[in-house]
Order: sequence, then structure tokens, then C-alpha cells
Amino acid sequence: MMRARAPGFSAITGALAALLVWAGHFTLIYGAHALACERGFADAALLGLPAVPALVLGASLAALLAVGLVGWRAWRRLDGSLAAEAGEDAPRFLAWLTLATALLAALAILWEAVPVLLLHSCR
Amino acid sequence: MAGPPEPDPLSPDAPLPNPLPRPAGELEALERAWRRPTGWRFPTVVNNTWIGVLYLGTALLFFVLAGVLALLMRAQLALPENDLIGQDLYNQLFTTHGTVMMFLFAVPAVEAMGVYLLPAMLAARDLPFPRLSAYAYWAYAIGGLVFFSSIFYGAAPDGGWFMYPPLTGKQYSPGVNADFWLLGIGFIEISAIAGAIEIIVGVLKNRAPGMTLARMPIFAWAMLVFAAMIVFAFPAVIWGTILLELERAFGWPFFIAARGGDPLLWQHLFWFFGHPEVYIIFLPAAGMVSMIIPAMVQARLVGHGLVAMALLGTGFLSFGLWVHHMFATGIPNLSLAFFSAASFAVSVPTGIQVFAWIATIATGRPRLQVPMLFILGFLFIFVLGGLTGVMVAVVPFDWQAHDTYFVVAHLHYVLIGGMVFPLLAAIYYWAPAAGGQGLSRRLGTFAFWLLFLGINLTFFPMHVSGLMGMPRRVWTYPAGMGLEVWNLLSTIGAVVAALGVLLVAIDVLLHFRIKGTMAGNPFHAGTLEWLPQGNYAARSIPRVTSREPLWDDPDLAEQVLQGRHFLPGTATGRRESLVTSPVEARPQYLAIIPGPGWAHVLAAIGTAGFFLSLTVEWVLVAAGFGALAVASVLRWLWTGTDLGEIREPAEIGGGLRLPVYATGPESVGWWAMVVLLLVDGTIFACLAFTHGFLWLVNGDGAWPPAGMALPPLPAAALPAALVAASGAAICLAGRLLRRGRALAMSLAVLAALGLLLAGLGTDLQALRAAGLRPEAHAFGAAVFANQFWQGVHAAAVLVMALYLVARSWAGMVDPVRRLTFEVVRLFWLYAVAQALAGMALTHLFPRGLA
Ligand code: HEM
Ligand SMILES: [Cu+2]
Repeated sequence: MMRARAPGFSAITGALAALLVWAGHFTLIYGAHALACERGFADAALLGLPAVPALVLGASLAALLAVGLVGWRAWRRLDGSLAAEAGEDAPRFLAWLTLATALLAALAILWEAVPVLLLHSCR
Repeated sequence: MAGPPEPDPLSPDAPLPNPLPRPAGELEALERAWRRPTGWRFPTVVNNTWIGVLYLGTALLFFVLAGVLALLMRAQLALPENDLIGQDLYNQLFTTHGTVMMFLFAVPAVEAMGVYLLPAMLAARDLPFPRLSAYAYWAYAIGGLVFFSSIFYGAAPDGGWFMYPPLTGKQYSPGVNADFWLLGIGFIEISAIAGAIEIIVGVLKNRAPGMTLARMPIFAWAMLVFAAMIVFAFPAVIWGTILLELERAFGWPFFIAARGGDPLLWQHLFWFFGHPEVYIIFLPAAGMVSMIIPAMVQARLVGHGLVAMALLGTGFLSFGLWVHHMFATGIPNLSLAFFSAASFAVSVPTGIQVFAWIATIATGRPRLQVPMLFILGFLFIFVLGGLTGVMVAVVPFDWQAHDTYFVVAHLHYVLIGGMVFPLLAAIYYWAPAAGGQGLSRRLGTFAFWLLFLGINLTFFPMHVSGLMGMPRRVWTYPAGMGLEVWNLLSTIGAVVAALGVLLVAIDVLLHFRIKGTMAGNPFHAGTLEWLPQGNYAARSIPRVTSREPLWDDPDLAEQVLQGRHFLPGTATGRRESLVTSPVEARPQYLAIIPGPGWAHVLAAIGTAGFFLSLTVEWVLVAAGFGALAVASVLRWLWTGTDLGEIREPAEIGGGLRLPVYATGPESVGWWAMVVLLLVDGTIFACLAFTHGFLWLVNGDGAWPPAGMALPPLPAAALPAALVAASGAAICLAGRLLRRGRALAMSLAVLAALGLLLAGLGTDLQALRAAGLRPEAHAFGAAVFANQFWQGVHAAAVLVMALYLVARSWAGMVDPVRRLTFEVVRLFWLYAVAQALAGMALTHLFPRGLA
């Protein structure tokens, strides 16, 4: 009676992909920044740019791209119809959930990246 | 299992799974299998309804006990320069109050609601590991009560609920007080993890057929996220606790700056747990609110998908906030800004939920019954707490408010608003589901107003006294600074609130009854926990075709009661649960689940006794209790799990024939082990973080510090090879088992065991031969903490290997009946990988940096 292998673990982690990217991004920028300050790279340069902001912004761009990809693929599975409600069909619901979490993750990543433009790296 | 090409039995168009009339004796057999033990055997009970009620009752007892401590504190603070309670006792009071409220009331209370409600809500007969829940309950109840009584002997912890070293180090806290916290609370965290495993596997694998993720009730989402957060948050505090206890007991200097340690390491580990903890408490409460509001206003939840998304999002984002408890520690501004930004980001999903609730209330017809009153009170208090939360997330403001009564006000608004009020709403709402008539509307309304006014009167003035500069955790304050009136108001408020709690308690004692059967659906709710229930849960397991099945299908309750849905009896004569796939909830197999027994109760006594006697350094007694715990766990596993294919596949209705045994990723045992390994992997990540952090603060030149050296690299090659060989040997054992060669498999397991122990032993030996010791410097301490943790795993593998071999010799392991083997192999391979990673951390990490 079983249809082709029922989706399990992977379907669930798929819906979490954007938030996992957020987690990786957050760990990376916090870790790299702490390291830079503790080891006196506050004013170091990377390709002529101030290293810490360049690194954080680069990582944020990469993370946003990844999240965008996740969201875009989910959106395609929704056939482009952006209903406000997820509906009760399971695959559709998961795609909708993926897209919604991608939006939240993108917002959080953006928000966390902005301070590097405003503050000195290590004071 | 290829079946005939009939219509999908889960579709709403298919005929009902089982015909009438039901065979004679079917219901009686079901009742017999699920009968609950009575009389002196009552402690062996495992039915989730009973364990859930005991669990909740015990948690509420701790709420009252910690509340009494709060009243004592407020009595002391009512007047300036009061000498009712001295400084030492005051320190113990606020520490015990905070600790008990967080660890012994809030988390267990919501876990209890999960254990109680989830099976009914998912229409499962029970959660997948009923004895595990019961074990978690007994360990918690026994350990918690002993922990609490330490206050009567002046031995209660006194370093604040977050136990910052160096204050809690041996030098400044020489007594056993801090050890009571570390060992007493440390193992209650184990019990919380046991419950979390149960809940994750239960929610993902035990839903009624057709209850896809899209149709799963929000409370189940909330509990799923809650449990997953426990899996990733509690390891940090467990690891921190281990380090601090190692420092206190053996002088390994993790947090002592003079010897290369750093107290901030504790703060990071603690708050990596501590902030998510706040959401661990709040999300289940939010889940309950999302269930209660639709029933109270008779309208579907607005934005069901958005709310599920908000729960997931909060679960993640709340792990990016921990440093906001450390704004005043001198961490660079930009780092603080990251955490400040994340603290704002996390308020987005919470805001989404609040708007969804308000919108739902607006679309429906609110009835001002007691649960609804508590919900409205919750919205008011919680939103106020959220607003002060946004204030303290602003770094400069926090520098003013940090460690003042403003923070005390904020945290109580959030915790009481966000957790206590929803819990009270839930108690009034779900009480009728236990049977009986439910609680009194009159008493409940009175209690609500006393609590609502009392809580605001207690905590609102604290904003003011805090801004006037009154620090938290002081046992008294001088007259003439304008603090008198605010403190007196707070104390009066606390008394009013206490009267409210008293009324609730009276109401529960007078009116709460547990009956075998449920009275009906008094609030006309739409979800499955309001189906008619017996000890076996619903008579038959409904085919779910929508989110609010009772609203969309008015006949469902009757059909379920008649036994016309799935599994209306018992196929094996034992307790069974229907295991379904995690996303689509398609039936996979019938799991046989264990019934009442003493083994898990003894295991709980052994575990609690072990940790508590370690506190007072009764090493031999502790060893005795430890042996009792291990022996009981083994007996419980031996008799209750991995029974094998005791009969051919069984019909559950609708043409579905399901096996009664499964292994691998279909089985619940496999999932439970995977979740456990996530916990374990997180602990190891904390271990690695410890190395990295201490390296960072010590500087490159001091890692290892002058005068300390690692053994030469080739000395690490042999241990690594031995450990890797152990992994290969256990895989070989798997192949032998598949071919049915049980004896050869046992020998391979024993060989793998020998290789693992030899590998870890030679590594330890090489380190000691190189002259490394844990006491002198944090470097050595970190290296030996790693060794300690590998040793714990070696001991676990040892017990598992011997158990496996014994089972094999008893003829209980074969190519079909192989779940025990698979679970042991999973753990084993993890231990091998972790040992190799640990060796890299010891031998390669410092060299790579040099
Ligand atoms: C009517 C109910 C309550 C009252 C009157 C109350 C009162 C107090 C008081 C007076 C303090 C000590 C403040 C200080 O000296 O710094 C305190 C601390 C605390 N309370 Fe409560 N409380 C209540 C309920 C709760 C609840 C329900 C929770 C958690 C779920 C909770 C968690 C805490 C925590 C974590 C602390 C901090 C302890 C520390 O500083 O280490 N309280 N409370
Ligand atoms: Cu926090």
C-alpha cells in the first residue's frame, strides 16, 4: 500500500534549510568578528577594504543568495501563487513553510549585517 | 506489502476503515491490555494520562513551594532595613526560587502538558516510549524534592539561578550549596531531555493516519519545536555544569583566570542554554493559546501556516540572542550589535503570533469563560513584558537597567504573562477532558482577578524602583531614598496574587477528577483530544482529513467510539501504537509498547540517588545507586523492547496490513537514537567551543603554555588507528549478523570493544606520559575534559556491547530481530567519530594554530 518512499527526515530538513543558513551565517560573523578583535585584526585590510566589514558583508551576501535560492525553489513549487494561507495539502504546505521561513531568515540576516556599516569593528 | 489496487484508504471518499458490528470481546481485550495498575502497584503506571497528571501536579507543587519562598522575600523587602531574614538566607531564597521556578516548575509543567495532551490530540494510543516518560517523571519528582529540602538545612545554592563563577567556584563557595545546584539540577536536565526525545518521536511518528504536517494541530508544532530546542540548548548547560563540577571537585581551572581559565566561558555556555530556555517555556504556552482561542471564539485560527512558521522561526532565532545577557561584560560593540539585532528579529515571529490571536478573536464570537479571561490577561501582561524586553535589548538602556529591579520586573512579566497565565487557561480549559465536570467558573473568575491585579501590583512598581537604582538580589535597602512605597506595594501585590493561587488550588482540589472516560466536548472544540477517551485513548484511531476534524465531520466522534476507524482492538493482545510516516502520516507498522513495570521506577530512584549522594560525597553509596540504575535500565530494555516479529502482519482496517515489528529508519527506536545523538553531538560541540574559547583568551603562545607539551604526533597515530578499526569491526559485525552468524557477530562486537578501549587507553597513557596534568592550567584541564567525556562514552559502549552479546547468546538477536544491534551500532559509530574528532582537538588543533 505504501507509495514510493514516504518523505521523512529530508523533507523536514528541507523546510528548515533557510533557517540553517541563518544559523551558519550568525555563527560565522560572530566567530570571525570575535577572533578579529581578540587577535588585533580590527583595522586589518582585505584587498584594500577594511577586513571585518568586508568579511561580514561578503558572508551576508552569500547567505542572502543561499536563502534566496531556497525561497525561489519553494516559490516555484507553489506555482507562483502566493496565497496568504498555506492550505492543507502536505507538499504545498511544506513549500509554503519553506518560503515563509526563507523570508524571515533573510530579514534576520539583513538586520544583523547592517551594524557593520555603522560601528567601528572592535570598540 | 503490495496490497490490492483499492482507493487510498486514507482518502475521505474511501469507505470507513472497519465495518459494524464489531466482533465480541474486541473492546474487552483492548481494555485489558491498557488497564492501569491499582493499589500498591500504582507507581508502576505508565499510561500517559496518569503520568501527565502526576507530572503536572508535581510541577504545580513546585510552583507553590517556590512561591512561598517569593513571599518570604517580599516580606523581608516590605520595609527598609528589615531584619526578618538575614543576608545568607536571602541569597539562598532567591537562588532556590529562581532555580525551582525555571527548572522544576516551568519546563516540567509544559512537558507534562505535552505528555498529557499529545497522544489524545494526535489520536495516538500513547507516546512511543511510555516507560521513558514515567522514568523522567520519577527521576524529576524524587530529585526535585530532595533538592528543594536542601533549603531547610541551609545547604541550598546561593549563587543566583545562573550560578556565575568565580562566585560559585570552590574559593568563594566552599560549602556543598553550589554542588546541590550542579548535581541536583544537572540530572533533572537529563530527565527533560528524556521527555524531549519522547515528544519529538511521538509527534513525528505517532500521528493518526492522514494527519499530515499540514493538518497537525499548532500545539503539536509548538511541542515539536520545544523539544528540538531542548535537544540543542540543554547540552550547553549540561556541559557547563560538568566543567564547573570538575573544577570544584578536582581543581581543573576552567573558570579561574589566574590559571588560564575564564569566567566568561561559563556565561557563554549558560546563556546559550539560558536564553532559548525562555522560549522553551514560552512556545508550548503559545501553542496552548493557539488551541484555546479558536475553541473559545468558535473560529479557525487565522494564519495557521504563519503561526507554524513563527514557532519554527523563534526556535531558531532564539539561539542567536544569548549574548544580550552579557551586554555589560566588555564584549566589543559590534558583537553586541549582532545580538541586539537578533533580539529585534526574534520579536517578529512573536508579533506574528500575537496578531494571529487578535485576528482570530476578532473573527469569532468571544465567550468570556475562565480560560478566555486568562488568555486576555496573558495578552496584556505578556505584551507589556515584551515591550520592556525591547527596551533592554537596546544596549545603552541595558547598561542603565542591568542588574536592577527593572530586569526583575521585565522577567516576571514575560514569564508569568507568557507561561503562568496560559498554563492556568489550559488547566481550566482541558480539565473536563480528564473526566468530571471541569473546574468552577465562579472560583476561576475570582482567582483570575486576584492574580491579574496582584501580579501587576507586584511587578509594575518594580519598574520604578529599578529605574530609581534599586539593585536586584539585595536582602535590604536603606530608608529615605524613596524606595519604601514601591517595595511596600510590591509586597501587598504578592499577597494578593498568592490568594489567587490559593483559590486555584482549592478549585482543583474540589473539582478536578480523573475518570477513565471523558464527559464530552463542553467547549465544542475541533481537535481530536475531545474525542471520547478511555485508558486506551480513542476506541479506534480516526482517519484524519482536515485540521479541525470534529468541526468538519460531526459524526466522527460516534464513528470512532463504535470502532469503525483504524485499529479498533489489539492485534497482539498487548499495548500497541500505530506508527506513521513523519510528513504524510501514512501507517507504517504497529509498535508494541511496554506496559507497567518496576524497572523504570527503580532506575529513576537509582539515578536520583546517584547524583544526590555524589553531592555530599558519599562515593560508595553513589556507586550502589549507580549500579541499581544501570541494572534496572538493562532489565527494562531486556523485557520491554525489541520483541521481534511476534506475529504475522495484522489488519488494522481499510485493507491495510501492517507488520508488528520494524527496524531501521522506519522504527521509533532508530529515531530516538538519532535524537539522542543530536544531543550528544551538541555536547561535543560545546566541548570543542571550550577549547576554541580558551585558546582565544589565552593567546597563541600560551596554548599550550610554556612548560607544557603534547606528546609527539606519531604517538597519536596508534590510538586513532585502533579507534577507527573498532568502527570497522562493528560494521563487520553487522554483515555477519545479516548472514545469520550470531556467534561470529558476538565475537566481532567484543573485538570492536577491545579496539575502542585500547585506542582510548593508549591516548590517555600518551598524554600522561608527556607530563600533561589537568590541574595546572586550563590547557590541561580542557584536554582532560575531552578525555573524561570520551571515557564516559567508552563506559556506555562497554555496557551496550555486553548487553548486545548477552542478548545474542540468549537467542534474541537474529537477521530479522536486529533493532537492538542497529541502535547499538549507531551509538558506536558516533562514539568512534567523536573519539577521532576529540583526538584531532587534542593533537592537531594546538599544532595547527602554532
Ligand atoms: C507571584 C509570583 C512571584 C513572585 C512574588 C516572585 C518574586 C520574586 C522575587 C522577590 C525575586 C528576587 C528578586 C531579587 O532579589 O533580585 C524573584 C526572582 C526571580 N524569579 Fe520570581 N516571583 C514570582 C514568580 C516567578 C515565576 C513564575 C518565575 C518563573 C517561571 C520566576 C522566576 C524568577 C527568577 C528566574 C528570578 C531570579 C533569581 C535570581 O536572581 O537568581 N518567578 N522573584
Ligand atoms: Cu535572553
